[in-house]
Amino acid sequence: MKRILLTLTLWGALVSPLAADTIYGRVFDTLDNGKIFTDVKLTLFSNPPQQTTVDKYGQYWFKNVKRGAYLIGVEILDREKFTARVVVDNPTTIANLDLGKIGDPDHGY
Amino acid sequence: MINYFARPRVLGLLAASVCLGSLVSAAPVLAGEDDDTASRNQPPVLGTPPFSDNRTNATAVVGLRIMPPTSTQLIQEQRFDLRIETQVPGATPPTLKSLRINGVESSAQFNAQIAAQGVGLESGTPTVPNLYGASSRNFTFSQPGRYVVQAVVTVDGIDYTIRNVYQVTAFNLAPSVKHVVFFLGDAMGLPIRSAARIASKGVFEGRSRGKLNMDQMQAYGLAYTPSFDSIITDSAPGMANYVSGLKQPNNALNVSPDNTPENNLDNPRVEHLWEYMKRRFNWATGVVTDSYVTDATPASVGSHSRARSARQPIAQQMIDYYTDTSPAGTPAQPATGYAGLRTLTYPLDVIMGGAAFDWLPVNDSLLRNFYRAGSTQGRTDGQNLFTVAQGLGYTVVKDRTELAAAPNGAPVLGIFSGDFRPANALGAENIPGVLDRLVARGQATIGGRTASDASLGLTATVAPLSGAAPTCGATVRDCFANVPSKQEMVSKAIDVLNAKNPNGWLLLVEQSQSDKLAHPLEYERVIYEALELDNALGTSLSKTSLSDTLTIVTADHAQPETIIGVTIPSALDGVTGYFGNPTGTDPITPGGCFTNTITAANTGSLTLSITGAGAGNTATSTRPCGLQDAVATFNDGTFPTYIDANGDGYPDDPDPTVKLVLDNGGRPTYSQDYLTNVIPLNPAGITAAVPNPGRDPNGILLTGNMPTRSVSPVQKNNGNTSVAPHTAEDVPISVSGPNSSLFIGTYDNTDVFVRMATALSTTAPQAVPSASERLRAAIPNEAPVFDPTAAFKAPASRVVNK
Repeated sequence: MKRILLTLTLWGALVSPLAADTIYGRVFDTLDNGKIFTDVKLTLFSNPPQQTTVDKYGQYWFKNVKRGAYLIGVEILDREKFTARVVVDNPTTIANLDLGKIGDPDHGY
Repeated sequence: MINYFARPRVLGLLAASVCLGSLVSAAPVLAGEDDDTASRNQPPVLGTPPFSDNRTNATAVVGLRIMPPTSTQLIQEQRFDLRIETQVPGATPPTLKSLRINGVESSAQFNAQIAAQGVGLESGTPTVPNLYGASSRNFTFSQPGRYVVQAVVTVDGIDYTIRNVYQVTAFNLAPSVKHVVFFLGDAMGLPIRSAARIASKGVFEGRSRGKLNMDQMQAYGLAYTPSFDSIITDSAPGMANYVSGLKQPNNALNVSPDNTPENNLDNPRVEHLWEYMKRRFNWATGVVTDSYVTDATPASVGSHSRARSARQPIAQQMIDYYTDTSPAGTPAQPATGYAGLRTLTYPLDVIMGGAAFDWLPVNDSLLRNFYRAGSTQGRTDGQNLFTVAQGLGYTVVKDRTELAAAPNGAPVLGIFSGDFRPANALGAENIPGVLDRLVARGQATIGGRTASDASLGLTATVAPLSGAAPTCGATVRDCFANVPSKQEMVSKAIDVLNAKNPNGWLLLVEQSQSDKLAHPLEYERVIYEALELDNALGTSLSKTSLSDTLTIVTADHAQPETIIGVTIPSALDGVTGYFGNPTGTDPITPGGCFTNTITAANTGSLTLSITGAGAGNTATSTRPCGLQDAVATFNDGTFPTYIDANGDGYPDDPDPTVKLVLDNGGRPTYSQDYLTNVIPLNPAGITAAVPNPGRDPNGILLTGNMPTRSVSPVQKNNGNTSVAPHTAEDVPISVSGPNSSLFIGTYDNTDVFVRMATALSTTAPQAVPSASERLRAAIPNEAPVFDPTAAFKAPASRVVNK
């Protein structure tokens, strides 16, 4: 039994590489009339870190990311830098950054 | 049986496989691990992590999904937008390969419908290249039962398949049920109901001296409150879920999310009960609130928007006004591109609440002088919706006197004054809290202070800000006294609705300030808000009949406030004489709890020092703050002594001899002296980490547990969560009237919609004893035969009685 398990484990390791996934998302603010942010620098704190800038549609991608939880740095023009969290758990993890979700809409609006 | 001794060996094998796997991986794999912020010297993670959408019913890789979300409970003939979309773009344009509804291929009819609507806003066409997205507007399932919708979309040569299932409840209007009155106490959780009862009725020998109206309903249940994307709902889906059956994301009003976030008005929509009953049965509809009328709760029965902040379009939708022209700027709610939306919305017959900011243009003299708006506040498109509403037949009223004089035979738009006292926590867009209105009317005092006490801010004169248009009164007190009470608004609303259609109407009554005054931790005022809702409920029950009116009382969510004991205000107010010793000094001396150094309010740095009477932090030091001993609890929980000598249904003073003490499980740092604030002020200072030095400066320092940092724009909380939050617990729901037993039990807030519809329908025969059996009978499990040609029709023409 143990021999079968060892064989199966080694075979699985040889034929199926660890998951290398993609993170995709857009940066916008629902509560600011759906404003799309195009000048945003994102840093995925993987090892080594990956960095990207969103495109004119507010889109960004990080590719070849191992599954797990990461910190992600966000730099938006004229705003304070901040760090958020992203959990990669899919072949393509959809991670939209809706700035409208931050804060307390009931009090401010 | 698990052999625990073998585990290290198995783990070793797995570790070996991982190492080997890493060596042979074709693509580079970055080793990333979660980390703490300190080791990487990064700013703190936000209180609301914004990344990683929750798992939803979507395919891998391209995120193909169907809206409304799977398991949405619809009612027969309810309109909704059937949307199919991908969330991740491919390299080439995707195509819809198949759409099967209950096994019947329907993609041709779906595509024909999209073509008839036109691409762009009408169909929610994505602007990002190589995304798929199409919404068939105002679709319906004409028969009750179970519907399976399966879509196949081809992206870069690969077929992706997704399937949603919907249960559709039968609906046949029961002629015996004529009215629905839905009371929504915003954030009115169970502790607030209890506090209102104790304060209003009192306790004698451990027994309540009486019951609130909401305590005497026929059926009780509990509603779960999470939204589509958060366990902590905001007030938009908190209410909209009740009236539409759709689980919606935070900030959304009767829509689902989509892949066009750049437009908040083109999202896939769902018809809510107010629209459904008006469209199908010509029922009259109305909403009454003390918030601004475009706020999330009232907008839930009058609009469709992904963003509750789209207040100017929401105002137009409430009166069903769409236009492509505007006196200034760009039209807020155009007609072009929104034929599907215009078909869906219906005008409300009763609209009452606060704030003309979304109804009158910037710098309008009435807006400035009567409603006390700033010079930059108001509609940016130049529209005067008061004039528009009058042209549509509405009577527009601004105060209590005008409301009383308004004819019952015409729809009414009542927009009343807000709390425009400087720096107060509500602001000019919200009707003043009931305690402050009662003081203005001479019906209550605050710690013995009348409206003539200058500290209350009611004696200030109200001068015109621009031009010579009338103000709301000569003084703040006059303005507040001229705002109609909730009872007066509800009474008028019922009169107008009965005149419009005595055989059918729905009314939403929101008590907004039970939330908005709870955010800044104004506990005493929150109790008064709950009592105003209860008194308005009494008015409603007295003007309607239990036999034909379904009355519901609930909350959209709660806040983390609860009753922790009682205190004796006169023993800690700094005034000579206290309960039990009229000539002595207070046994508990306020002040000395902490000291602060601040350069100016809301600017500069604030340094806090805890100051104890003893030296240092030694075993012999005395307690740092005497006020910590001000709360009597456990065996010392003396029954409160609120008095309602004038019989108006409210305590005459919120600080009687013995009063309730409430505190919050979620809060910014603030200070508390257990006395009612003369004006509701924000609790926190420059951030949620420090108290507002202008509020209870001699109070006990209560440290916060809310986030102190946020990247939100300045208008949202000055960049931090400086108020108490909403909470995730269930909220009580109380119901009276026909088929009220359907509401017994615990269920999601969206199930309230199905229960309301079933209560209004002959599909819930009284002969069936069990509520669950009656609900099952209303939702057959069979899959009806689907006819795509009949279901996908050309855009419907407008309804005559709209």
